[in-house]
Amino acid sequence: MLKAINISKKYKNNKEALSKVSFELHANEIVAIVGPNGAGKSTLLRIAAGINSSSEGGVVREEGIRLGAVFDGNGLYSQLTAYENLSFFYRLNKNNLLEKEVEKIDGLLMNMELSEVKNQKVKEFSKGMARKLAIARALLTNPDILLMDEPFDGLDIASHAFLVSFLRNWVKEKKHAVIFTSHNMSDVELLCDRVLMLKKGQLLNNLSMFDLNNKVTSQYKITVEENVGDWRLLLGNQTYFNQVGEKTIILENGLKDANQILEILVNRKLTICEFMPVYKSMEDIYLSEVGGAE
Amino acid sequence: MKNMIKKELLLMVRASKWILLLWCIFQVFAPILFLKEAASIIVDQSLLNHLFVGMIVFYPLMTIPIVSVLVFTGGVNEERKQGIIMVLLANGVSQTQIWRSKLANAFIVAELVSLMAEGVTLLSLRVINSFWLVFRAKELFFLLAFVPFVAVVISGILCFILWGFQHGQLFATMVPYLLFFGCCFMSLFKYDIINELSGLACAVIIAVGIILLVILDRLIGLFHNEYIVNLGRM
Repeated sequence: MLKAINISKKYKNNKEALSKVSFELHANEIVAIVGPNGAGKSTLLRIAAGINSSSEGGVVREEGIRLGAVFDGNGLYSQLTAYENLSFFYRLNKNNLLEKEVEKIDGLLMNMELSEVKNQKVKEFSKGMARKLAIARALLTNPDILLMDEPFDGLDIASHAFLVSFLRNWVKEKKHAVIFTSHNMSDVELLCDRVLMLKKGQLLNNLSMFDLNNKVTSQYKITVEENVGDWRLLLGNQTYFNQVGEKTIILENGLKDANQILEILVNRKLTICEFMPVYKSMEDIYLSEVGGAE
Repeated sequence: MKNMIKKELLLMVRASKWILLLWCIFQVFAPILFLKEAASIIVDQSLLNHLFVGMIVFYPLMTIPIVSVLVFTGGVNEERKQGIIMVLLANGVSQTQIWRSKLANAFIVAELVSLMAEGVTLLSLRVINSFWLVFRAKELFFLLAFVPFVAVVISGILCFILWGFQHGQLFATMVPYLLFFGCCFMSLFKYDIINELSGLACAVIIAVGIILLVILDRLIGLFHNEYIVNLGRM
């Protein structure tokens, strides 16, 4: 749907905000851009939205693909009501819209559970309500791709859960896609299909969650049905593992020793119940890939 | 464009109606006091009329740029802070359209405030001093068309500075005061500007003003979007 090719961004002071960043966004995909402050996440998003220009490279969209964007600050008029905000943006785009204004806006407000407060001024809204309205505004133009800058920042649990489920459904519904920036790794873990990791403008990783887990996973867990007792007596001192109870061990060297150990277990006629990678939390992955505070 | 101006006016009324009302009262207060005193000192009614008409006619030259600058700054700062300018640009609205709508809104509000203040001043002169000002056709043209137009051009230049330059606010706020007190107000008493300025001179000034506004309108399009979006954060 959207292809970013070798995007570089240099500021006047020669500071490089982005350096040859490339990625693709496919239909039915939710992608997160993560990285420390100043990594270039928002700049990349703004370039993708067409607000900022890149120094080199560019963004190509498939024909007919429309973008909706939610930036930090929500971009809402605090003195206008929820309906008036949407009505203003509807009228800006009315040449491209088929649905009637009232139907369209009421539908969006209903989807966002904001119907009851449609005549309330935005300045009286909670952060969660304002964020929902900002998303409704972004959806006014029937976009195929939603670009969001820190969409979950500062939301309470209920609003957070609502947005997560809404975005999941929205992406599934048709051939939609979402790309968002975040500092919160649990959001990324919960929602994303793929993660772009940025550090100092460089793209460190562009991997699916599965590949990312596999890339950084070095531990595997083996559980057998029988009580083994001391696993050292069974496997010897040559292999690196941690024993967890009498039935389970965690291999520290990834798949390096796995074949040999599995062979021993099979030869001893032990029943293997579980052989699986031990996935790290997204936060651990982030820290191992991007590093701690700069 | 109509939608943008309508929204600007609605926001203005919602956010600043009390401030605007206070502004009107304040604006009326100063001339009334001055005129009341002047009326009691100057006995010659024709001289009094000449002086008062001159004041009333040139009054918008100060009020319109000042109110415009304040209204424009308030609107732009709020939109930058809330990230609205970024959303507008992402929705295909150009910087020129945003600037035009904000300038139009600023002028409409400023002109209304100015006219209200003048109207109340005229009425109060009648009530307090039992004195009706008599306007000639040329004076009316100056009051209702020429002076507001010149004020729009000045406001346009100031709003252009406010839109595109980080520290434009100080400059843009200073200019109307200097302009009024330094030039117009003094000249008003020295020269009879309304009578001395010929029709041709007025036409030339209007033409120059239009050209200036067109140039500013085109120049707005030269600013990079990201420069304008980030201006409030620099």
